[in-house]
Amino acid sequence: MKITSLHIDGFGRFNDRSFGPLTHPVTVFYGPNEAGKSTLLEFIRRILFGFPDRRSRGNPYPPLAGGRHGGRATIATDAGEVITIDRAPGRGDGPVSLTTDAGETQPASELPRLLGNHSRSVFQNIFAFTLDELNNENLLNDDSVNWQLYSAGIGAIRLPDALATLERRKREIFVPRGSSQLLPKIATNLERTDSELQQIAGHATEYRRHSDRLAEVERELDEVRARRLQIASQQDRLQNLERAWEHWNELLSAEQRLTELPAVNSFPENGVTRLESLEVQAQTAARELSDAKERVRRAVAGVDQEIDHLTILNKSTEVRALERGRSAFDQSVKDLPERQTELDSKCSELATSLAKLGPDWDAQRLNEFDLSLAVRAEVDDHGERLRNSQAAVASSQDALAREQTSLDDASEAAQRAQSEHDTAPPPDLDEIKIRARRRRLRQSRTTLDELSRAEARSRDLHTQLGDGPEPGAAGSPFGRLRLLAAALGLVGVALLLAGLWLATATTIGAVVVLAAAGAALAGAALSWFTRGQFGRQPTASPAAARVRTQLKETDEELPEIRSRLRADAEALGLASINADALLEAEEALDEADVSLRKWRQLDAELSRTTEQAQRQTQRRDAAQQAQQDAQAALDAERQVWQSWLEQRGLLSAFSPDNIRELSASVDLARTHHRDVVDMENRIVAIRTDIAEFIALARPLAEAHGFAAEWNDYPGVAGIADDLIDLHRNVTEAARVRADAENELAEAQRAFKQRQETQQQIANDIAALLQSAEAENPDDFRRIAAIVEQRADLNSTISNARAQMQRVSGPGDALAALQAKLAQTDLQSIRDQARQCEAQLEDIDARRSERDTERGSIRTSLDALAGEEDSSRLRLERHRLSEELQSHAQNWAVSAIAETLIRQAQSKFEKERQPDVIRHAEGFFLHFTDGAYQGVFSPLGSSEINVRDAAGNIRTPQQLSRGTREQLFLALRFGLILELGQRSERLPVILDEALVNFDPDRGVRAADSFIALAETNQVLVFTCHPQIKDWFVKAAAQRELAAPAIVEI
Amino acid sequence: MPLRFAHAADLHLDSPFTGIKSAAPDNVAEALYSATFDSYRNIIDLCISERVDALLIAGDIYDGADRSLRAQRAFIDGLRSLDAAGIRSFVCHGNHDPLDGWEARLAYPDGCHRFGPVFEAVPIFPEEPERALIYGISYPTREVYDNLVSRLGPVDENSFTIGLLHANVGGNTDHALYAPCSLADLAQSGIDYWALGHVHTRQILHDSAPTVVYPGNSQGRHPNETGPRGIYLVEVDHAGSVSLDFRPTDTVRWERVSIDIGALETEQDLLNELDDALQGLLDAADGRSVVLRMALTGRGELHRFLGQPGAVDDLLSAINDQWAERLPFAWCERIIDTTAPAIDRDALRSGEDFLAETLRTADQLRENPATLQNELTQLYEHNRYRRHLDALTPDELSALLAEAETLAVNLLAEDAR
Repeated sequence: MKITSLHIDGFGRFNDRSFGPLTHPVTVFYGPNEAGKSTLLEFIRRILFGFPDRRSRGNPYPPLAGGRHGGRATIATDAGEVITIDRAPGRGDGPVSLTTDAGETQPASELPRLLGNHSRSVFQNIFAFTLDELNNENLLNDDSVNWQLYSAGIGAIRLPDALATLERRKREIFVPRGSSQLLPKIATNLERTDSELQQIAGHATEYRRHSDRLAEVERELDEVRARRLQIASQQDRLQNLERAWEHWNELLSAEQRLTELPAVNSFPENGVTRLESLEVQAQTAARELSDAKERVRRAVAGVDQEIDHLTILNKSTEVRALERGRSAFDQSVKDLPERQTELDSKCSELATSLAKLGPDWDAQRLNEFDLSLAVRAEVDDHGERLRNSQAAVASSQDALAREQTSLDDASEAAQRAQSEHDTAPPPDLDEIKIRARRRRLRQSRTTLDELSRAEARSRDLHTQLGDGPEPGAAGSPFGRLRLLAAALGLVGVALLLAGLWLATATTIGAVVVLAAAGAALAGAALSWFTRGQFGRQPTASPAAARVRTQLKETDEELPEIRSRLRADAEALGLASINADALLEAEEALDEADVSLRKWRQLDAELSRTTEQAQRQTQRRDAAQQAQQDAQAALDAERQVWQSWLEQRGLLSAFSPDNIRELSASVDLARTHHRDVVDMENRIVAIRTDIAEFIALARPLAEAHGFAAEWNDYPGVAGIADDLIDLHRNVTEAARVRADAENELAEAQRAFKQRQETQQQIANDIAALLQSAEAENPDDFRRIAAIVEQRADLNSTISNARAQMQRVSGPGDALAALQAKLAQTDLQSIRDQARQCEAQLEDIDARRSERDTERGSIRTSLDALAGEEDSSRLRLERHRLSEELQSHAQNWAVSAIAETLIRQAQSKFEKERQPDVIRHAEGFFLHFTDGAYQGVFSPLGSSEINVRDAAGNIRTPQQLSRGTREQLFLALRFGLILELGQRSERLPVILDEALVNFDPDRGVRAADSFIALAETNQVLVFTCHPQIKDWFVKAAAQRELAAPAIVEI
Repeated sequence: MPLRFAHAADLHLDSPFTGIKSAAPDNVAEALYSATFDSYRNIIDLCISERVDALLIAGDIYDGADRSLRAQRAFIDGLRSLDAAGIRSFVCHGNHDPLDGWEARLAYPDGCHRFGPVFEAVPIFPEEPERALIYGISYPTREVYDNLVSRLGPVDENSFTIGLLHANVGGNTDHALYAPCSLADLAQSGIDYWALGHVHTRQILHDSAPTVVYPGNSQGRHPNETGPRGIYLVEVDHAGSVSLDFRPTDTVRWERVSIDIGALETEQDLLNELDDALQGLLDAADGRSVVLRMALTGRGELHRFLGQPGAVDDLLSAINDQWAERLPFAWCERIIDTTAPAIDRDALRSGEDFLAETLRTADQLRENPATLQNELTQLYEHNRYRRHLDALTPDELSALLAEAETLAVNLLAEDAR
């Protein structure tokens, strides 16, 4: 594949720039440093293989000179297809379009095929490389540098990292004797879980043992329970006999005593109680009859009492009115003088308030003055507007003062800047001149370096041509050769003569041999001697001829370089060009630069301060206008206020604050006036109350003989109190006499009733004695005692039988019980009961013990059957097993991946490496002109070694930088040839990759590129004219057309 | 003749969930421990609420090897509840709970009948023995390789007959070949309804005359035991026709989800996709919790994100943080990343570079993956680990090779390929 043309829309410093058509097999792009060669190389890489995405750290080469970012390249494939690749940065590698020379569009997926399915990395490392990429010091420091270089062409640049990663992944999971990796940790947990599960499995045996014991204990408990029932039953029977024993004895005793008492025919129920009750009633009736008689006597005495002033009871309504108004009268009499005093005080305050308001103020004007909220709001509104206007005036005056001060400062700064600007000297050089001189300086420095290298080369070539002893001098190689040739010649002549002499005496064969040997030696001596004569001239050797040619070329360059230096000296105003003069000129330029910048700063400062003063003047004028406007607004507000005062007949001197104070004074005077009127009305009411009270008391007093002075209020109060007391006393006396009359009637009725009751009781007692056939109460009580004893004995007998029946049970069991009781005694019963109790205690202790054991066993069984640990452990065990399997498979994946890679690596090394190395070896021998004889990679190793002409083995690190770069270049040639046999042949592009080659090896390298150009297009980027010349020379040596030269 | 009974099998009470890689949070772990018990409790409650005449359990009630007292006691408690409700129960034992296995000697209720090592016929209704008979047999020992059906004698033709058996019908290769028999053996037996156990996936092998049914296990316990799990309610009418009604009894449901990353561009897209998938599973589980295994497949840009160390674990934590704490929960036990980079493998393989050689080497190994065993003996034959590790099958080796190839491509690729 060849690149036939390039067009850059925008990329780095290039804009709308085309290169081509590139028809020659070798094209040299020649231009000075910074001309854009590396930019052009990167452009080709990106058009073919894509732009890095925006997150990449690489230089994005933005279109600094404008244009669309990107461009196109037209290529011609080995098969003859002509395709234009157009690409710009964007998503992925950047949108790309393919167009054939017929204008047809091809899918972007075709591009990898056109590029031989090579990756960008292969292209960059093998086909299109810079000096840095050819000889990367960091790579050299890497142990696997050779493999990386080698693998760059086979898509395995990350192979060492990949193998290290796989090894690390495997080691994290498992190593044969490791204990800290994932697998041993999981296996340890798994084994621990197994152990715990085995332990829990033992619970099953324990469960069965407990179950057997539980059954045994329950059997024992059943037996104990039955035995206890038997003994408890016997104990119950004995306890019954013991409980019945006392009742049995009571029964026998009561039956005996009943037979000894006399019989009673009849006796009233509760006879004694009833008799005693009737006797108490008789005593009570006699006492009540005596009391009734005395009560009648006292009632008759009360009815006979007399009452005075009884007629006052007819005026009870008036007396109660007097009583109700009594305390109000005292209060009125007390209040009247106090209220009069208060009235005087209020009148005095009103007079004072009116006097404060002014002589023309009276009660009528007070009431007419408007104190409404609306008026107060109007006053507040006027006050607010006036204050705002006054504040605006004050604010505008302050602003005016500030702006004036700023204007003064700005004017002063402008005057100062003008003064500095006027006194500073103008610069000698402008910027364009300074830049031109700096460019000339850099050019001169390059030319000076070029002169220095040319002079050194000239001296070196002179040395090689030999400035030592003259040809033929003793000890020189030529002298020694001539002596050897002379000696051989003499021997040859001697042999020839000997042969001729022997021709007569010996055989023909011996003569021929000797004559031939002599002739040969003589001829050789003659030839050697002759060449020794030519050897006196240096040009006679091809190597010397090459040196001489180079010397001539160098000597021709020197005047031209010196001529350029003289032109530069003239342009820079220097007498001559040398390092010191250039340094001095550069320092002068630096000073001129500083002076220019300082003068520009002063100029800029003057402009800035002048503009600042003008702007400040405008702001001061604006502040002045604002102050005048605020004053006019204040005057207008004051005029409105004066009109408001005139409308209300108020003094024009009043301010809104004064009006608020006046309103407060009027309000206070109105309050005083209301107080005076209220007090006058209250005094009139008190006087009316006193007169009404006297009018009520006077007729009553006169009717019942009370004399009084009615203007004497305390006297009136005393008579009123007397009347009230009299009415109360008469009322009480009348009530007492009415009560006495009622009591008399009631006492007489009670006396009669008591007499009848006493007779009825006497009749009841007689009937009771008769019912028991008793003669008197004492006889009645004797018969009652006998009846009571008989009843008690019968009750005892009945209770005893009931108790024994309760013990024996219902029915005939009582008879059986009595029979048993008749056959035994109490002590025997008690002895047998104690024996039963002891037996029961033993049985209960045993039962309690078994109960406890049974509870314990059941608890253990519940715990064993209810444990959930085993569930958890089984789940955990399976999980750990699964985790272990999973990690083992992850290990297996890494192991298999490693196997894949290692097998592929082995195959590559066996099948592909020898061709690459063989190709590389041929190139390396050619570059070094046989100084190195071999390039090889030891079996099983990925290292590259070389062998020199003396047979010494060297690693790349042991080579000089130039030779090492020649080795790496040779390896690339090997890879290019190897890859070219399998896929599309891509253009080979080198950016200053030969700068460290000496001229001889440089020409040889150029020669190899010329040869390579028969299969792969070659593009060379350089700023060095000698490199350009190497390619021209190499082409000439092969009698091929000179490379195309493109100046950039 | 009318009859209504519940047919259950393979309760595996207190048997752990298997195939789980991640440690479950407490709430999830607790649900997993008790899932088989809760499922059994659901069966008991269902029998009582549906007023069935009997519950039939066709073996593998618990794993005798585990010696779980908790399992056996819970089982007896459930039977007692049925007995108290007047519902009889019939139990046969299978390979996991054979008659000679460990037993806690718990008292079975009177209403429960356990079949012995030989076939016996037991009436469901003792007062009406002609109405329905159950012919059942238990495994005397764990490994029974005889055809037990052949031991069944003539059956009563005047009753509705049920065979209760734990067996592998038709040589199901997913389960051990215990008590093997053919469907023809069952069809010729004269039994009207075969209540089978052993195969954990429910299936109706024969619809009628006889009806042959595996109800499957009552609670899924493995990533391969996905979807609803439960029992059959069986109703037999006067004419002896059988109708089946499957009722899920599981409390935690296993699911597997596969998401293709091909159409997803960002990590957020992937999270959204995962959220949608989990919400869908919970909705479908009808109030149950879900344990799931997630597989990420396909080629796409997200492969690079997933390939970063710890990315898959972080993703797992992110979705479990959001979904595992709630009730019902959805807990993802692992994410399997089988995604591949967005590359044209054929184009890469046809190249001349090292990557192409690696892919060609993988293709050669793929033809005979068994050779990879040699590369893995260091671990898989290791004294300590070989007893914990299952030998890798050719299919598993092929899968590992595919993963290894993706890993190698990721490590070797120089750019975004």
